Amino acid sequence: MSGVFDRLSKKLGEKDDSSGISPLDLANLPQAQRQLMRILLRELEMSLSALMGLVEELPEGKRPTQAEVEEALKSLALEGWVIKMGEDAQITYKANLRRKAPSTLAQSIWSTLDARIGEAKESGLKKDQQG
Amino acid sequence: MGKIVSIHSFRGGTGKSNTTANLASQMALAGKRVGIVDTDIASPGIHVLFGLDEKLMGHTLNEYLRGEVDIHDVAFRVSDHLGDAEGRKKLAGKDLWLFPSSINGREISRILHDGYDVNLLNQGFQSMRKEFDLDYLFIDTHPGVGEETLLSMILSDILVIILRPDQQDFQGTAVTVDIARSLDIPHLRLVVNKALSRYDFSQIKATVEQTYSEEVAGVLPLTEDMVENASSDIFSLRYPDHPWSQAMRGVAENLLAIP
Repeated sequence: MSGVFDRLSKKLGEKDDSSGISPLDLANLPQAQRQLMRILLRELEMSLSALMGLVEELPEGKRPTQAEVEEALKSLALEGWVIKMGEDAQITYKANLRRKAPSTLAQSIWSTLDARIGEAKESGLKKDQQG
Repeated sequence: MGKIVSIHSFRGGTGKSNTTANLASQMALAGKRVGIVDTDIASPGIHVLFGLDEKLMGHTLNEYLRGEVDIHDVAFRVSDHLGDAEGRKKLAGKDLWLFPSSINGREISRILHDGYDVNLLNQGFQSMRKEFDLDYLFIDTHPGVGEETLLSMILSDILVIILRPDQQDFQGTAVTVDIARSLDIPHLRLVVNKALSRYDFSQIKATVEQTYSEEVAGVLPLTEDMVENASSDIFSLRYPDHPWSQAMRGVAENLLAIP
């Protein structure tokens, strides 16, 4: 069961669009960290022991030790790129991706576009009804 | 759990969506459970090949990304809506789902304006794989290297890069291959599309493999028949004996053989 702090940080995270890792940052991570992020993204949420189970399946030479995994998770959590949830034996980890940024085009462009599309649709409907 | 197959091309017009639809259909025909998700939110297109128009389209990925519907609600089971297309009819009873992006102008402008939660997109991918018990999930993305492209590459078990025998494609593909290598994607395959029939395809394959040091899963010929099909049907199902379809089946077999 997740604690009050977990729920609070989740709520805060939802409001902060700049939190989380962007795909570009993800691509630039050191190999060990990127491998962990890949596993967490595919599994959504998992414990350290479950994560280590999948790390063991990585090719030899690319397989980090448990100490390296723990260190990597610590660094990723500090950046807010991995969220640590629960307490003690119930701790699980999940990757945290950054929200896709809204377009930087001026708001007026979108409202104009929206209005134009609406007009075009209405005009199309009228033509259908007349035809 | 099923494999994620990302289909990419550095430039537009390589036949990416057509290749994705045909590959996925061939795999479904081979008895696999297959999903296709259209993450090209700005310019979706693959739905057309499955006969899905605005009237037939139910909920879309756009609504899912706004948290309004579940990913289950977005799934369009192709075999439930085969229509009159001769090729698609062969998918009767097959397990193939499409997760379409909206083709409504307002919906497209809305998501571009608001952005979306990428965690939710990833949760959607994983839910599709688990809840539909998919053997393969194909991710069709926007051409070039963007955020969605990088994300889908990182998540992939197999990355398929489509290129034409064209100098601009060759240079762009080198960039994509370099990125893919740096990301340790488990399996990378190249597919050459729109090769002139008068060329020696085995020579094209050898040259491309030598250039990129990666396996070419197939060389597909340029054909007017494909243009004439105009995305109205799944070409390799409709014309199974056509050279393009035979080459496409070779690509599907290559991917199916990946452990």
